[in-house]
Amino acid sequence: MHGDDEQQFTNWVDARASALRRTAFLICGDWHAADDAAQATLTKLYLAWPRLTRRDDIDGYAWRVLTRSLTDEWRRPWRRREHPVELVPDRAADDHTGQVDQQRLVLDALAGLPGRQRAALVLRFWQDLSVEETAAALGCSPGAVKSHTFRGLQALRVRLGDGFLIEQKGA
Amino acid sequence: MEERDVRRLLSTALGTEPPSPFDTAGVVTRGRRTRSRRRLAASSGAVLAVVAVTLPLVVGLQPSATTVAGGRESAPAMRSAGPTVSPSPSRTAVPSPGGAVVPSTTTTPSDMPTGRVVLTAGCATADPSAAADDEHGLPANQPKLMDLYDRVEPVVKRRFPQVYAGGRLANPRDRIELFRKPSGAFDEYVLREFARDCVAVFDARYSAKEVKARADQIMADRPYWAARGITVAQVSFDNTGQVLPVGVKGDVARARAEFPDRYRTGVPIEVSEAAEIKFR
Repeated sequence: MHGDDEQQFTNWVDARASALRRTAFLICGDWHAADDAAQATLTKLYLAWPRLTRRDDIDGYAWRVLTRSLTDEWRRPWRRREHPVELVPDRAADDHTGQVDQQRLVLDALAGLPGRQRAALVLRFWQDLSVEETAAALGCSPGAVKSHTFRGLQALRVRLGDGFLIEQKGA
Repeated sequence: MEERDVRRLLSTALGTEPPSPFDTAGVVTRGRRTRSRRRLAASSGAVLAVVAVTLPLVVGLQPSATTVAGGRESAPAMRSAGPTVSPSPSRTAVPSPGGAVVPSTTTTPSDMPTGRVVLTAGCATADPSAAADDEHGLPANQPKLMDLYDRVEPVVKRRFPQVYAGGRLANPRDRIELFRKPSGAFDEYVLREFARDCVAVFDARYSAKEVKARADQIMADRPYWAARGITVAQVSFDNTGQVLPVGVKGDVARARAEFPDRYRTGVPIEVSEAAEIKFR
């Protein structure tokens, strides 16, 4: 990679790495796995950078690689794996208890969705990708993205209930 | 549920973000290192393929150029990487001091392994024309196959350590090729999990674990051979799980005679005179 390309690449990483990482977390539900997936994506992006800049398809490539690198994880029950920690997490009540409980509720609701529905929701509503861009990232048709999104929203509504949203809005 | 509700839900799910482990310089360094490693793997494989093709021509196509030790004679065609189709899986040995499985990127149309093959459903749409050179002179399907290899190899290596022998990119056939000791569970897993991709699975005689154990044994025996005037200069890795290629210096004839005696069972050793490796 030439100096200019490398500078462009570092600019892109500075601007987008956090978004990649957060999106990966929302798709896989685990910060360690999200870091691994984002790291793998950035390495592949570095290797493909000269080719991608000519095609002006950097973001599209990044989402494709990220979602594919999480594909294997989708085949396992999400967040059902054990994550060894050195200390037992302290769950004593603090000022953020309500917030943590809400986060847990939403994470569990997301965990119940099939991987593609989860990814479709995150890419569409968190990353604001169009249906076509989401389809390219997931390697499926726009129709399939619409179907995943619809079903995913329906499932979330069933799992969380309208009361949760009203409570959130009021919070 | 409206769009902004979903956004709010996802924001709740994100919670408090732990500090990011990335620094841009580290990302660039890792990218450079990966690129160098891949280039090295590709160029090492290319050099060996050239040697394999030209050496028989130089020595007048004498099959005695190499000797297989270990009590199992391999088929002559297995040692030839010439332009004819081998009756058994041909192989490309890639130097790997640590015994790691390194994908070879040097397969050619004539390097087609034969014998029993298991093909995933995705192979129905494999397109050999995708191997045409891109503007950099690399096969256009290289990124796709490397991506596929990166997805497949770590998983099968972890799940089937007792049978997995190695893998490689097969650009001319627009697929990746895996080698494993015959295993229904392995085949079933690959057919199921990678149905949308093109993965070909061939029989190997030994797993990577067994080949690595033999390589470790050879490395440990270096003082023994040095005392007999034989320098073990290269221990390569055969990613098709057939033999362990060993390059020696000094009394090569004696090595060819004595290696079979010392390593009678298990992974056979292919003894050859170590070529001098020149770095540019």
